[in-house]
Amino acid sequence: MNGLELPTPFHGDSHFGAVAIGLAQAVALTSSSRIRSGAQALLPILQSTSLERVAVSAAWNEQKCEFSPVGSMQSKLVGFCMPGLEPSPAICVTATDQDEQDEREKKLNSAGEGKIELPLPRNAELNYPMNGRGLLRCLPVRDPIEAFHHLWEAQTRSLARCL
Amino acid sequence: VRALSGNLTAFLNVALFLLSASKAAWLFIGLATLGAWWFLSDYYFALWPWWMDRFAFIACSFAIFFAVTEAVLWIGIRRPARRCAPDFDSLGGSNRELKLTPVNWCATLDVIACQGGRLWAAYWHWYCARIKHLGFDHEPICANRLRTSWWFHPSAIPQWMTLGCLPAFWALLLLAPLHTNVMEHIADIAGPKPQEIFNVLCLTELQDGAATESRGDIHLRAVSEPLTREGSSSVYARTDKCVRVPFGDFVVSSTRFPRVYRSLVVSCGQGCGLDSRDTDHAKKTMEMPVIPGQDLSFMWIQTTSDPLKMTIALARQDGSTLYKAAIEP
Repeated sequence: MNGLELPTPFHGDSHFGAVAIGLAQAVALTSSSRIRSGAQALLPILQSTSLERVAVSAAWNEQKCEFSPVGSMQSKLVGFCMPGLEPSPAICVTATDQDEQDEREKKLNSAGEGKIELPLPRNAELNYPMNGRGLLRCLPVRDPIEAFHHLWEAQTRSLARCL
Repeated sequence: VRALSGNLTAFLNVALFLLSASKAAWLFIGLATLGAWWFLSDYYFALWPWWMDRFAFIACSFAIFFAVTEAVLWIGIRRPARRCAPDFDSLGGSNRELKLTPVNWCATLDVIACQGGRLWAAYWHWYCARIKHLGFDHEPICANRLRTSWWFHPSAIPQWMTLGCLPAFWALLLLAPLHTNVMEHIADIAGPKPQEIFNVLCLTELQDGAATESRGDIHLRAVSEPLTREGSSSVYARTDKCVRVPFGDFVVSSTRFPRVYRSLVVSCGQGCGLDSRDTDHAKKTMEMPVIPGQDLSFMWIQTTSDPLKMTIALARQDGSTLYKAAIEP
């Protein structure tokens, strides 16, 4: 990170999910012929899903081979929804057990251990209030492919209204 | 303007889908058009202006077509689309700006097709087929241009031609029966009753002592008297008061002739005139269209003391006589 100082919440493995999802789409768009035949069925999903307004905050669990939760979610969500950042995210992809991590952080914080930030209050549908921009919905998924499936299904459903 | 053009393009797409891919829609619209034509086109004799007689069924058919298309658009397409809306919008409201290649649009439309009933699926599969015809090497298409992207492609010609079938059907119904015997045959099958004149009424005014109406110093009394006939013969004669006056109206009652052309041809002998009470302006023959279900009246005047020697005939459009009656032959 010579010469470039990233905000603290962006250090660590939280970028894994974003890189994995972005890379999957980049490969699908630029080198579709190199994708093995078994995964060709995924091509339309990988190519069509719009990631322009999707935020991702998920690490990787090597033992389980799936996304793992990240710490300091509050700072990350605040970062995603900084005023002036356009386009603002419409959804944030997280690991499936991100809410457990948030609960752990909450308990640790109440016990006064460490300097862990208090997770944001969250409603039952995994919506986080963000910087006066309404609610940011979180999409808990196990891996990038599941994320693409969920995002594509939502995208096709919303497209049905305008086609 | 944007919302209006959006609704218009969606309407046209649904209309093209219905006419090119739905036999049920064609059957319904076709039968409704035939029904409207049958009941609204009396072929010249309705009480409304001539253009209503010709074009009322077209307006009715178009209204039905419009209503069916709107119903399919709003009930069959837009309502399910609202129902299947996701609980989160990953596009953040920028759906219309999304650009995809035709192959990816086809995959998207196929997935959309799986999320509703039969009509919904049929529409989206048809839509997908239209996009597929653009070819997979086509440049990416923006969502807000997808509806119209295939309209001007050669593959769209059959779809537009099906839209032209409806006006062609109207033209066929409008023109064909006027100059053929089709309507005569249909009318014969629909109404096998004999077509005839069954009553002639004499309406006149008689100078009489007991006045019911005053016109200066002349007292007149209205007379309404049926002409007599022997049995079911076609010879009618004036009797009683009607014989005593030299002018009046004859009211002819005949069988109803819906949807076919019938006219009443009246001709007069030496001693009478038609259409006027003035002997100078009276005619010897006249032809009037028969309005179905309505009696027809015409004026007559007796110019000499001879019998009227009048004939009244029901005629077809080609001039052939269906039924002929005589008044004081």
